[in-house]
Amino acid sequence: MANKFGVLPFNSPVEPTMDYSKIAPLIGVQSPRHLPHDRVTVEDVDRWCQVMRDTNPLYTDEEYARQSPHGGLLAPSGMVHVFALGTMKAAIDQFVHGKCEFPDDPNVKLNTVVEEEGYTGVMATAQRQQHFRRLRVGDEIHWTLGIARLSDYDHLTRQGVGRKYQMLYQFFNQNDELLCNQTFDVLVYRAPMSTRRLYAG
Amino acid sequence: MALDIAAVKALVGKESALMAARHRANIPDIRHWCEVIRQDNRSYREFEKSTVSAPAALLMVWTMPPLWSPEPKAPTEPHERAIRLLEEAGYTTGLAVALEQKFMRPLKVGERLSYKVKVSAVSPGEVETGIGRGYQLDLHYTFQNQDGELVSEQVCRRAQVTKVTAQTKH
Amino acid sequence: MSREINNVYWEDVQVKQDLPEKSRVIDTTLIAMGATWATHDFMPVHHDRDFAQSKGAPDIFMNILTSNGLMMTYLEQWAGPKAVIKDISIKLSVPNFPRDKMDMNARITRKWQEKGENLIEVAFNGDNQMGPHASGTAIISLPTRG
Repeated sequence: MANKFGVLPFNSPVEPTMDYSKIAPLIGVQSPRHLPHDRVTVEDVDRWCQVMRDTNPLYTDEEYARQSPHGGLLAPSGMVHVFALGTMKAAIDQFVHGKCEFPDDPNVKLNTVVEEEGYTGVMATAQRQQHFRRLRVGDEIHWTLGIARLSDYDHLTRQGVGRKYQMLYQFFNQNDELLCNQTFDVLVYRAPMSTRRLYAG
Repeated sequence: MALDIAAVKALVGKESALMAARHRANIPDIRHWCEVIRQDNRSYREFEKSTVSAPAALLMVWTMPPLWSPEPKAPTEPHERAIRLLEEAGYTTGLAVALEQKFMRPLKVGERLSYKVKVSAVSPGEVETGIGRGYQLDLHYTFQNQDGELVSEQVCRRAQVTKVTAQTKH
Repeated sequence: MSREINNVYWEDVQVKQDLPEKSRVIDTTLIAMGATWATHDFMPVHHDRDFAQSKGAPDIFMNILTSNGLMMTYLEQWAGPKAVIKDISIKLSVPNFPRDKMDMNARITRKWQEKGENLIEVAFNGDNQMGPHASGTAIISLPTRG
């Protein structure tokens, strides 16, 4: 709760403003394996390279890539997450109509809880990718995701009062080889008006 | 620069070299197109199983210039030069306003499209186009597969205007 | 294709060395195409100005996959095709909006050998006019001349 000045010191623990018991069972559980909407293809790699202005011949020059130690075209490692994103229809269903493609995934359940608790703003703040193996054109990327942790107290951020959580993605290729571990930090925050209502009375 | 209409007219009847599409007819482009245009949300596995040929409306898609290229191509073909002449004379906004399409055979997945473009007509002077006053160019596209088999012929009417004056509801 | 391909070798780089800076103009095309066309992120705040404004943002803004892609491309374009990015952490601060410009720079902060690999760590930044957009560190495996 707010001190007598109506403000909170940055990042200070405060009394709980949400019921953490709804969250606890969602932490540390990975979703089932999901399949992508597209294989890794030259066309998708070409789109990425045009936008990023990437001229790495391992991605763009079939002949060069074939003669390299890789023996064929690769995809930029940063693309690993691309194939885990939903289609346009899935995104509209989710972000406009609130209907998720994988309603049983822990992050979806978590988002429902935090939204009900008034944290309606969502923002990605950080990401870490550890790459273990190169992506190859033709690969089929499977992935799982889970919630690694959620802060058990509120933070005061530029966006307002919020909580931080960390997602863990694991990406595999069709041979079940781990390609990448990715953590993804998300800030959920109370829209400014409700923040003011809650903390300044 | 004043419009050298004679230079544009001199390009009428001239045809480009045969140009190869950037990509073969492929599942991801077909799937993306179906997703956006037809709200077809099936996965690529379904498409891989059932797709034999590309939707005909995708042919023109494979002729589009890239968003970015490390070695941009200068406008050397007749239709590119005609558009460039109009642009340099201030008709800077170009828009396709009509498209006539004839399809001879479907393009199969894996085939690579080639195409050539002929400037088939230019309006004699400024006309009222659907998007404002300007010139109209008719571009005749011939599409074939990698073996030279005719796939489609299309006429694209293109308006080049100085300013878009079409009424909008805003 | 005969474009010249440069590789950076582990022996030739030093700690505290700066990578050449690069800039990228941020416009609506880059944000919208980066989100949808390149990275399949169809969340409307990245391509639909009306939707973004209805959510309280002044304009559409760049998605994290595009930011990550631009920074990884910046590093890889410098290092060459023989280099491999092993680990990359990126933190987002100020969003990238249309009409911004992002200046990218990086500095080598560590250089070591481990398990037969020749590694460097770089600290990188992508700044726009309003401040830091993306910052982070990356571990890159470089080829050797030997």
